[in-house]
Amino acid sequence: MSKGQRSVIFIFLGLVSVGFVLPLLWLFLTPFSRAPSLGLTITAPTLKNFHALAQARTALLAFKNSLLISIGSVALVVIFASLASYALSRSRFRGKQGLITLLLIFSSVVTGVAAMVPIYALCQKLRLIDSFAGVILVFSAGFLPTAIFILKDFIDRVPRAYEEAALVDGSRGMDLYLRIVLPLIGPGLAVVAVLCFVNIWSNFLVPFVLLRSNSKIPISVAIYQFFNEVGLPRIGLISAYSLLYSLPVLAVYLWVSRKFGFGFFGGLKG
Amino acid sequence: MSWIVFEKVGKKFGSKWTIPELNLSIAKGEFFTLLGPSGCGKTTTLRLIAGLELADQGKISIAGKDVTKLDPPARRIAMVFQNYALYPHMTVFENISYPLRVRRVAREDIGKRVKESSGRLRISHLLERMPSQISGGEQQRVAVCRAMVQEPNAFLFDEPLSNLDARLRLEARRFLRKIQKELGVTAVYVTHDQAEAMAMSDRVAVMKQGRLAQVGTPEEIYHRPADLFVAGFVGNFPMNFIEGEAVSRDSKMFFCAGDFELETGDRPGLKSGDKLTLAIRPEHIELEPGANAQLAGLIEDLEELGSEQIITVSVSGKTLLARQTKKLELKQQKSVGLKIPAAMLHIFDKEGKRIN
Repeated sequence: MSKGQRSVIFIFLGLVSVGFVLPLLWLFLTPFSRAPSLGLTITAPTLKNFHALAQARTALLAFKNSLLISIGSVALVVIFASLASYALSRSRFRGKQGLITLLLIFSSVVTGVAAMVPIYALCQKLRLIDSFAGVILVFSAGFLPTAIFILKDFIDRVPRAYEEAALVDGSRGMDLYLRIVLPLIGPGLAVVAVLCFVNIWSNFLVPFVLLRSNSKIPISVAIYQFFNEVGLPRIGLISAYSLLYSLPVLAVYLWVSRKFGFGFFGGLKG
Repeated sequence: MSWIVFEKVGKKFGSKWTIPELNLSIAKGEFFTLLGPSGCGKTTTLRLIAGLELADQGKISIAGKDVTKLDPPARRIAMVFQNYALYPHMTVFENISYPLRVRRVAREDIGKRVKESSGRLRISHLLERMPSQISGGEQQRVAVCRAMVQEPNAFLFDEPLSNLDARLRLEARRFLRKIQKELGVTAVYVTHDQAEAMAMSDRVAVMKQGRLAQVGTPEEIYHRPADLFVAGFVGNFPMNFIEGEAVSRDSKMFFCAGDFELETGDRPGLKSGDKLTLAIRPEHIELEPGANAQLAGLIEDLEELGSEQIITVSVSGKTLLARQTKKLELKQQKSVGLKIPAAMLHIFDKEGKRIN
């Protein structure tokens, strides 16, 4: 490759990366700006936007609600998906492949927009409108198929010899599952947990449709309150809130990459 | 005393009977080896003992107790897997103590037993490491240690040496046998390596297509192979096989294949005209330059291995392989005399069964 060609490629890549970096810069700069706008404005840093945010009670409550909904749903998904995928990976029965295909199809349907009307109707029948339980159940059901699918793949790759060794060593049932299987698919559980957490944390439609009370809405819905009397967005508040909103996701990613960022299956040769 | 007993045990996978009907009796404290080529059912047999496979018919008992329907935890067996199956998320100590912990052994007792076993296997210094941080030979010792601490009804070994390099394998062979004899625990060992089986075992069962071809001490298997398959499978060097027939002459019985003739000695099972296969181990052919030989041959090839010589001799149109440990002045393309004691001849009928 000639020097000229290389510089052309670098300039092109540079332009592309500017497109990605600018919104990030905005996210990290605007909350501390004295004159927040949609453009990048650099001023002496201030915390006034955060102070204003601290006055908005619903906004802070929404943070707690978001955590409750996300963590609750992720817990349900991880528990049930790990059990289901273990059974699906290790047992042999008629129609197993069909069931797996069905899972794959369902995984893309349930949380989609198309399903919102029947889900709303269902929740109304079950008196789950405006309750955390309703939102958590819908999210869990929505992510379970994908989670099962991903975890099954992880479990398929864990050699059976570990379980056989554990059986011969005297453990069975829950003992075997909790002490051997779960630790072995740790990275898979992390992948599923992160995937669900990030998606549920940022999902707007489901809580927007199913929740009524201002005291129950999560951040993704609450962020729509930051408009002034004439309907213009209050950029300072929105940007500060966005930054806070993205921190847990960032934290989760960092935690996982620290914990599972290294090779794992070291004990088995051959 | 019979410790592990198989009575008419059958196991099928799909519609195919991998093991059609197996009768086996392993004595207490015995080092018993299942030997055979891959796919002969030896590993399946081991897994049937462990309970990792359940028999489709027949009865299995261990220590006088019927275990046919019991799952592995209930059988109190310790197994060393081919790839060791050390739990990668546990330290060496946690690995070794796992069987004790799941069986709710008292904590101080666990510490004591792990300490004693790991000391004996010289792995005490590894207890805090993870399995991925120790060598293959060390992993193997840890796997053996995990089996040892359990005080099990039997040790099961599924080709535990196949992942070690040649030198370590020789060492591990001796050490496994020593440990087993010291503890006096019955051991069932699976291998496809006949040298390993011969070196370690009290008794060997040679398996072929899910059936026992022969069960006996290593000496019996080596000196009196029950059929052609066992004869061909056992021995460090391939047997010489010659097809021919029995001919009776001057009230003596001979094996004849063209011009090749050998006296068979006294074998009541032999009738004149029988189609036969003769088998001779290379180490049982004696070469000598003198005239009092049974056969005359021509040296076609000579391999000098230091401790021994491998000689290819052609005798009356047949090619034989011979091994000599005593130094002889031999030259290629020179004639040589051969002596084969009649007792060292193995004769098989046309079904491959041994004729005595």
